[in-house]
Amino acid sequence: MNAVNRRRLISRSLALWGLIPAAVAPGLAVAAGSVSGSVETQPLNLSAIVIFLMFVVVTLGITYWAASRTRSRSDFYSAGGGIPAWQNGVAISGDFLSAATLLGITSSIYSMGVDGLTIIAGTLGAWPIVLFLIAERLRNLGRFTFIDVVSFRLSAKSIRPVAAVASLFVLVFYLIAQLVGAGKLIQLLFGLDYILAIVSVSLLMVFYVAFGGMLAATWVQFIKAVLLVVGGTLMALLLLNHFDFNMSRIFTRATEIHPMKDGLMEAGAWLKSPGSVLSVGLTLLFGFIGLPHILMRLFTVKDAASSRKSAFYAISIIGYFQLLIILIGFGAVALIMGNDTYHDAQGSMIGGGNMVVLHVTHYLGGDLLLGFIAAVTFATILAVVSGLTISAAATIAHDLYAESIAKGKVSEQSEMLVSKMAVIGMGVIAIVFGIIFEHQNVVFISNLAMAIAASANAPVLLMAMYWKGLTTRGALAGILVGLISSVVFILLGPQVMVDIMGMEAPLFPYAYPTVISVPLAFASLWYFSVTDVSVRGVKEKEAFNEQMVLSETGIGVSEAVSH
Amino acid sequence: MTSNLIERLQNDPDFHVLSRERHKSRVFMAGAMILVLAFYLICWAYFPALINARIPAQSSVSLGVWFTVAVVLISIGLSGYYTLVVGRRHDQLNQKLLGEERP
Repeated sequence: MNAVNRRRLISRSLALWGLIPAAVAPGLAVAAGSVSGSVETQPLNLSAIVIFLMFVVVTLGITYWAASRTRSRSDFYSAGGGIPAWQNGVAISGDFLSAATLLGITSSIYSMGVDGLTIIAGTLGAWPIVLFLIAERLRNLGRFTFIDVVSFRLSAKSIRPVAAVASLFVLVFYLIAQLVGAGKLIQLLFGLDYILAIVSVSLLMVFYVAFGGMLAATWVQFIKAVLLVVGGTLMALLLLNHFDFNMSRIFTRATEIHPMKDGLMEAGAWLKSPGSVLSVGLTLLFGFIGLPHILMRLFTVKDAASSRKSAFYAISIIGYFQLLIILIGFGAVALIMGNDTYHDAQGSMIGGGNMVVLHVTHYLGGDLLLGFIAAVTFATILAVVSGLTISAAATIAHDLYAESIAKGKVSEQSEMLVSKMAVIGMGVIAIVFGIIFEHQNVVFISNLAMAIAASANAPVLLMAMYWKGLTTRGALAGILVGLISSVVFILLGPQVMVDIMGMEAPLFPYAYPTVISVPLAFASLWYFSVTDVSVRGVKEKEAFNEQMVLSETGIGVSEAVSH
Repeated sequence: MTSNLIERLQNDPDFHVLSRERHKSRVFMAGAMILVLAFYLICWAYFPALINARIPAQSSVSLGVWFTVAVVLISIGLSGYYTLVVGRRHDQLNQKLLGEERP
């Protein structure tokens, strides 16, 4: 295969990277286009491999240490609630700052200009809402998963299985989307075979989580977040240095060189209708509130005050990084747009649209910096899938097995055994689906995850914490309506009907169904609760007062273990 | 923890003060953030001319960029205020309440 064909093949295949941003910033899935094609294995990137192996060695050492401290169920799921607030804040930012943020948002700014910034505002704007409304009450009412909080005064027997299924949909879809993208990414950055890449990531993920539990997962996330922020800062400094620390020169040069010219700074390149803007905004806001693996991190600190501080540290780090991303995105336009080194004869970016950050990294810092950022990207994927896995294990072992099937009559040892089996099961699912979906369009799967989180998880969590009138019947209706409507509207939307099935027009116009499914879920929660006049429903409403005392004061929160 | 303690707390005037304080600050802070986000999204959806405007006119940077930077900074600012000022006050009220109520 000649070099041009090879580049085209890579370019086509890397549209798949769109699924990585889609996992956290779903708006990018639209921008990224279809997911198809195959990837040729690239020459080994030695500097990236060496840096990544160092990361693996350090994190395996941490896992060994964490394993000796993970003795109880509480240790496994929430690190005994003993993670310091600052460390948890960094780890939360690590969960949030996936490869999506670094690669995807930068690429969207590069290709679509300012419309890509809505993703930054939407995702970061959701964080303070989590802090003000959720962080403290969640910590005071729950132990391991957000379902603990939802079922606090409702019928756990009815709520837990349904909420757990909705939660698992989100986590498994995310995991598949992340891993398929990771396989391609690693193949390109490291020169590893796709299947080997999938198997390696899955095995490391299982090892970290099964042995080290939440403590190891937190440390892996912490180290990766520090590396990512250091890498981003270094890139921004090199970029500013290139333009003599004159920011206006970066933006001026970007508008001069981009084919859109001044349009680069104008709205409408991607979000073409008011409905699509509002739909993306709602998805980002509610989707983020309903992500189980992010919510689970708020249980790893000792009390509500630490949970609040964790969220604030995370917001500060994420906000700082998002500002760097704005600079790097427009800086990339100014530096590599039209540069033959990074584009093929047809003008397409080598490796696909999401290679922007890696190309600008190479431009600014050569092979060594590229190797560093590539290794950080690999570490990022590994850390994110570990976080998803422990959250899924907690949902399966705690919510489904211990509390639903065994009805709480289960020893800690057997629950931990089930959770470790669940971790292994997630590893198997990851490998099997990673291989099955290698050549498939999986953008809709990651959108589905975000839509379900927004429609099935977020409304019931908010109402369970703040609305006295919620009953089990209303909660079940809300979760089911949110789950079913988000799945149906995604299937009727453009990403399935047009992109996959090849129809001319979709039955539902928006890629993100939350503009319909979230209000539907809230309406169902309300209607089926106010019309519930059963004895159980009345008791559940009365129990809100007790829940209120516990959620406001935090009495009864178990003592934390110091790490 | 007993239901007796919960009942005492429910009837404690300090609990009502704490609860009212928390409620007020949540409504104010979350309301402020939602307003900021709503303003941002509505501008993007319905007033693109405002997003596209340049100040000064010859600048290459549109208001859309500055609005985004403002959302980021406001998010951090409001979160910091809530965590370090409002939350600390709540913690003090909570400690006072629990100190009085615990046997």
